[in-house]
Amino acid sequence: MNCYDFELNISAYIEGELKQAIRENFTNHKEACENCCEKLSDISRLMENLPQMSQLSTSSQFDQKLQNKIREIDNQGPSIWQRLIQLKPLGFEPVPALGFAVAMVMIIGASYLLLNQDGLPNIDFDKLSTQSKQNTQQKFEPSVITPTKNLPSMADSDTSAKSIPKHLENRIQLVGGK
Amino acid sequence: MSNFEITDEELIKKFQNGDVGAYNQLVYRYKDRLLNFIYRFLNDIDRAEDLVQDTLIKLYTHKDSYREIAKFSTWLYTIAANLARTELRKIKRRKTFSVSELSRDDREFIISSTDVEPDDENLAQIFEKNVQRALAELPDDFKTIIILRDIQELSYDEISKIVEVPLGTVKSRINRGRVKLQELLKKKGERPY
Repeated sequence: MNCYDFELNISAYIEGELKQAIRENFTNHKEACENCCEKLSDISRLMENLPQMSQLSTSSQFDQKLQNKIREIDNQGPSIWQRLIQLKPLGFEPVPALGFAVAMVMIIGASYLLLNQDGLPNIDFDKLSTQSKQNTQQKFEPSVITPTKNLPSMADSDTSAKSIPKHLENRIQLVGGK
Repeated sequence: MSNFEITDEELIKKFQNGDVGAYNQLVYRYKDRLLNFIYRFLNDIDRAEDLVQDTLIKLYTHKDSYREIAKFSTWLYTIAANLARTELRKIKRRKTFSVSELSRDDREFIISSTDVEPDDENLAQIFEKNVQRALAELPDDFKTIIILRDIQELSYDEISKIVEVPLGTVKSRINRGRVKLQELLKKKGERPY
């Protein structure tokens, strides 16, 4: 065991959690290495002394302060949001009740608009249909594509000829012949 | 004494059912323990007491969020640890502006500790002060675990739940924390008496 491994196992050794084989290696290293031996004794003394450090107590006003804060909280009561959530109109849970109310408003609104002719905008359906007919009767003129004179053809272009490797030229001719 | 026969879990259940007396019992049981934990963490007694109040207020207002699956003490320590960590972060942010002042304080403390011929009581006080200072220098993860294990003497299992890390990690952190603490104390010229 080296110093690094020794350090990793210090707590387990002090707390008696090391297996027999590792424990023996640990003890052998402890006896051989002065630094590690000192480190072990320092840490075990530290562990003995830490729980014995003085225990603090809360001040004499602590309970009174706490009671005052709790009284303040109790006096404040629940927030508006909490009150809304706790509200149960006609015995319904708040969220379903709200959804039901919104749905009812929408149904009433829609039926009012449908039943009351004055509420709907006046639409001239005859005029609309003649307009749509006129739009469809417009002549359809397909655009004609005319080739520009300046464009070089594939056969004329030097680049296309150059791009075919010589050893492939015969093959191309053969395929064309077929 | 008869009240101590009732477990914390029974008390919180009573409190959840509206028994304020049960809450007062829990406050009585935990206020000093929490104060010691938070004080070791923050090294400021007034702030620590305020945070204990905040923890106990949270217990009052959030009593229903406790479920019986966890130990009550674990749940309460988790609240306290979270509040302490948040507070420490705030303090650190503020202290970055006055690093030079801190180092002056350190020097003064070292001089005073070597000048005085200490008796046993003084030795214990110096040891405690040095431990507090060394703890303050430890990374938060190590510090929390060292305080919970070596000062508050909680089980590894409880600590694992409070800090929400696996048991193996808790064990390795406590070992590394102890080694670091010993090295820091050695640097300060402190030998555990």
